[in-house]
Amino acid sequence: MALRNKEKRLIDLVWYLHKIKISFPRGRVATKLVYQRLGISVPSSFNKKQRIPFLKNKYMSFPLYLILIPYAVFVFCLTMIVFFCFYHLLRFGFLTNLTVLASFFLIAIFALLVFISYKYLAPINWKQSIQLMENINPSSIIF
Amino acid sequence: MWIERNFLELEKGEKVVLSLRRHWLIFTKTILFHLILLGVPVALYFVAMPLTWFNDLAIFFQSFILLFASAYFLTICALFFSAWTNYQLDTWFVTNYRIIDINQQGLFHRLISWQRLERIQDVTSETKGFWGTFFHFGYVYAQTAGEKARFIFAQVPYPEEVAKKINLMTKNKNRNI
Repeated sequence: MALRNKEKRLIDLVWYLHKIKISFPRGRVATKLVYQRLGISVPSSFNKKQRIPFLKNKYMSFPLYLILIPYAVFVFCLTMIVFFCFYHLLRFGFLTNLTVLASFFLIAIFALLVFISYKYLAPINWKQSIQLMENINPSSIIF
Repeated sequence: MWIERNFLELEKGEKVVLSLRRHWLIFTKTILFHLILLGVPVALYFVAMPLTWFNDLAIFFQSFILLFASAYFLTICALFFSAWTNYQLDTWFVTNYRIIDINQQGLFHRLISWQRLERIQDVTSETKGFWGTFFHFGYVYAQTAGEKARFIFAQVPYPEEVAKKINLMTKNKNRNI
């Protein structure tokens, strides 16, 4: 009965770790670490078959804002291209009213696109973590 | 004057007779190409809108699709602006002394070459294709004795008249010599 309670606590811990998005190594060692974290000795009956199914799966977790970094770098490069084009036009272009008007219009479109992107991307919670290759089903946590 | 301010000093008594750039129809092709590029994801969106799978996607994929769409549209916009800059900066000038070719080959690559009219040996014009014939644009080739053997005025409006004018000016120049 005592072991049953410990197992229940173990399941609770694993589920808690899963909820707070802590990823950890898988396999027997990890299962042992969980036991140690619980402050209980590893049962003598412990063997490979007793591994928690959740720990056997490949599990990768990262915050969503990480994909914003390459995006930001890319948008910065595009902005620099637009800036240099605009500079070249003003500095070296054979300027007519139409040229200046069209160039400002294009700049305005680019700025508008950046603004629309911001409007769509801002409501997303970028701090949340994302799990890739996730194969977790709480009901599958069995002994 | 613009050309003196930016590229090269004009000689005493030198005046710009012709300033040319590619025909507007050439840039219209670029506009159409970019509009098609813009239209593809918009069309895909309207095709996929009735489907409910997008709303069922995980937040990661929704965010990724939004980021990709944003990057795609911004890229098209930047490429179009770059094409517009190239179109604007590709220019040819004919002065009463020389012909000047300013060729913008990339964002940081510009080629400027010129040749004196008396060194021009032969000027020919070429109009080809339906669009060229219908909208009066084509090529003018100026054969020179200089380092750059051939000056090409590409896709300029009214190439026959440009060739005639350069020929006339070259003849006058040679007669004066």
